[in-house]
Amino acid sequence: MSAPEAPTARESPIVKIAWGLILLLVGVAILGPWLSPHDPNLGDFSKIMVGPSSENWLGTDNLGRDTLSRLMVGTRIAALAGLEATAIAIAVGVPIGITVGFLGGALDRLVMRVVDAVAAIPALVFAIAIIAAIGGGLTQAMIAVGLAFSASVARLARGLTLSERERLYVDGARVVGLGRSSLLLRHILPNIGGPLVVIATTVFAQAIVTEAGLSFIGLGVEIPDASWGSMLTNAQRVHRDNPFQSVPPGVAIFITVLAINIVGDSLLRRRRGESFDHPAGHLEPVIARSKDVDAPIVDPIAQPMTNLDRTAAGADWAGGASRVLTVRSLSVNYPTTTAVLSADFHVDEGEVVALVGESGSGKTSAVMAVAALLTPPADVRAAELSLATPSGDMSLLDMSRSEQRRWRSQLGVVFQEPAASLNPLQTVGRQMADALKRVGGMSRREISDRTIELLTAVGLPRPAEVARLRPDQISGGMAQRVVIAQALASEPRLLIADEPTTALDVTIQAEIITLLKQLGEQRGLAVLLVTHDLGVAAELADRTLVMYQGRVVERAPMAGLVTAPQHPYASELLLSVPRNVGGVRIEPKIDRSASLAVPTAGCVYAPRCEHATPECREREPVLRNVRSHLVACIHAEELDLPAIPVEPSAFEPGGER
Amino acid sequence: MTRTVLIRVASLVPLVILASFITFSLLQLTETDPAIVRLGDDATEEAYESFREQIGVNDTFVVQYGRWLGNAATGDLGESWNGPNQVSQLLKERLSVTFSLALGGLFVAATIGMVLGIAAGVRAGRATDSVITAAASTGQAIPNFWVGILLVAFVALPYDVFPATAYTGPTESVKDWLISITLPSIALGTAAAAAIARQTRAAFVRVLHEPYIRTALSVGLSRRSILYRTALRNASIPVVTSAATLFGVLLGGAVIVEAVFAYPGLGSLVLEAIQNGDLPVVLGFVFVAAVGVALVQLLLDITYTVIDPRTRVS
Ligand code: SF4
Repeated sequence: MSAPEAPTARESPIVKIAWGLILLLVGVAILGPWLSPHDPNLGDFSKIMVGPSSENWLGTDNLGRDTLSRLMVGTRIAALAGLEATAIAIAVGVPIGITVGFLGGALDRLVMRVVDAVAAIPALVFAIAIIAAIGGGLTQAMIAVGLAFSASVARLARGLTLSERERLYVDGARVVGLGRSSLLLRHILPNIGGPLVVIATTVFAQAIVTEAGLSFIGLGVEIPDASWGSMLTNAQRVHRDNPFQSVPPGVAIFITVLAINIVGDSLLRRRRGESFDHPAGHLEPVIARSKDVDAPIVDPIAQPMTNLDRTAAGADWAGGASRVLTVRSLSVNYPTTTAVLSADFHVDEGEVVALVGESGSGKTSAVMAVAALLTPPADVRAAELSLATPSGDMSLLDMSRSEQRRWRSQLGVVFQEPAASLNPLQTVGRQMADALKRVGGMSRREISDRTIELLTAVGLPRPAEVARLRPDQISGGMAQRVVIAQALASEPRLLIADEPTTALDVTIQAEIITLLKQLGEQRGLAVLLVTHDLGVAAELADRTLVMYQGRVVERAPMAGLVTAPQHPYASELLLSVPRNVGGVRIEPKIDRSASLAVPTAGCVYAPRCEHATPECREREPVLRNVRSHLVACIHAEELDLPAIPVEPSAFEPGGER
Repeated sequence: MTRTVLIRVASLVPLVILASFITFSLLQLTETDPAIVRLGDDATEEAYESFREQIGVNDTFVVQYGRWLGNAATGDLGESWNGPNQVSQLLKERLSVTFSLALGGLFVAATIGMVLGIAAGVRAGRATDSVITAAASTGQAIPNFWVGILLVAFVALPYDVFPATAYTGPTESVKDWLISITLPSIALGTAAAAAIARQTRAAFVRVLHEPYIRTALSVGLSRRSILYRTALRNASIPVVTSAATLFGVLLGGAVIVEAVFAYPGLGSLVLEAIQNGDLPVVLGFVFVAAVGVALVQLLLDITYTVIDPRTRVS
């Protein structure tokens, strides 16, 4: 990943053309003097300022010199100028940047002050000052340009070194006892090499333009040498009679800079690896498509689905509570991975259903699909994805983006990072008002009253004051309360909470859990909760679905799961929750070093499962009824899995995972 | 607000002083003898020496810089080596041209660049976006002084609307001043507008990937309101932040573009000074450029605190 790779087949044709042009220019720069059709410095006074002809393809200048030949020779000067200036900028800037970035401290502050001061002078102005000090001429001019650009190179090199050093620190390489200088050479240099190449292309392009500019005003190349800039000076003298003379040198500069920029951009894109292939971001979420119910995920040999559901869901499900959300055969695919595979779940009024699993298990993808907030390249398909609303059932499947707004207004979403979930530039009150306006039919007075009411409902003391604050002025816990209040603005029947407590302090976590519980009970909300933390799930949920690698591996009433997990992974998750037993905190002892690769056949959990048999690696288990849980494990009946024989309240929310 | 401004000023002043110190030190490298610059080759050694003594170049470096800085603080940038003129007077006569062009260029760049960048940003991923992005990448590569040359050759000379060489100061006639800076501002602003358009569009795309956009969508804000209220304001922050640097680039560009139009700006003054070895003028030129950039930076910082309340000091 470090060196600039040659153009690959994946590059767009424009990038290939740009590479081709650069190769052509390099060729002309090397061979120009031999290739040029005429002597670039020898004028023919019988042919002064003639237009393009078969003899002089681009015409001649005011001294009868062939423009094409001068252009070709100028290519070499431009290339040399660019190389010299870039080499100097890199040779001066990079060591300074790396050294101060690595050593830090007072030296860093001092040097960066100087660098900032140099950067405060426009590069061209600084270059002119250097020329005034060391004299004119092409080499001096390029030293000047190189030095002028070295300040910004130093700044960038320092930034790269800092982030690289940070990363090393995290990786613990320092602890292993590598000496400082060897650390510098072995780790930092190769890793910042790539970004530096990108910087170099920028400097190179700027240096070529600057050389032309300085030569144009007479501070660069000396007459009669042909530089693209000095050719323009000449051309300008004969403006009135022969305007065409100004075109070829400018086109040469333009094409060269353009080609370098295109290549530089493509290198940058490849480095960043930022997938802004879908530039509309969150603004254009994917449309969930309908599909048929998948092949049996529930074992056909077992009892029919509905009965199973009833048993697994526990008594109150069958008690006639009204269904709010129904999801059948939900799959979320990304180009290279499957995030969710054929998940079935539902949430009833007043019920809290938790999706639990470690990160990467697909739980967030599943609920974001329900919220219609997944962005491309996610591909969402389901057999059913419907909400019961006061005006009848609504289906998300195949709903257009504009209609999706209607769907979203039926549910509220609470996100993982409360601070990042609020617009940093607007006050809380303003954002609440925006959410309430959407609901409609309220006067300004009513909106502000309702804002206060909602902020009070989420337990914010002095709500009027909070409404006047911006997200950066409130704590994470308060921000999460605001997000919850916003989610309640449209009085939804379903609340989706994606890791609502993960980013918060332990004490705040407990408060938010209590709040969600209260809100659920008071408002009869259906809650779909996502958490990696079984402690949190145990506090809140009535039922739970355990997910692993995109599959639902166990589905059970919360109490049942906690006391008698039927799937080995559920048991592992339970044992990984830190607990308080008689006031003593028991830390989990789980070895998670086992392979995380998804097997191509058999049970997905097999690589990590201590009960795995050869059969597990061949046959994929499907969900079936085992002791009133739905379990996807071939050996579920035979296993006697460890659980924690205590009340959920003994869990301590906020375990380390 | 006043506090915020004062704090900004307090951070910009040392920067400008340090910049002047660096330039001052740099110019010590020269072997130019001010006495020869002023008195020519054929004066007596006593005359040379008394001139050196008079302008203080025999003092130590620290004393010389201290004196220069002290005078600079009062607006006195010393005397030209080449004649009895005050550097500040010389610069003052030329400032208007170069700064007019740079500001004109910034205006052209900001208006065209923002409009195009926003147009691309709000239609991110669609055809408009692709066309604007491609045009901006291309436009960014056009050298500004070449645009100037083409404008002179193909607009100013053939048609009698814009002057090719006559600069009018804003104090003489605002209308003529505007006419005289139009073409140079376009020349300067073209590539810069392309850069701003790209930057604005990139900032937009980045913002559209932020979690708060997802929240806005989830609470039911309309596409319009998300784009023009939430995203636009957030996306303008990095663009405004980098505009001061861009102004510096344009100021450097103006030195060359004014030569294209043969306007009597700082460029021709400093070129003459370089030829004559008149270093106080060069130093003054750098100082004035750094102060100009710092002032624009200050203005932008103030704008910035209006857009982004987080940066306000309370
Ligand atoms: S099917 Fe086998 S590997 Fe999978 S969880 Fe059950 S026992 Fe473990």
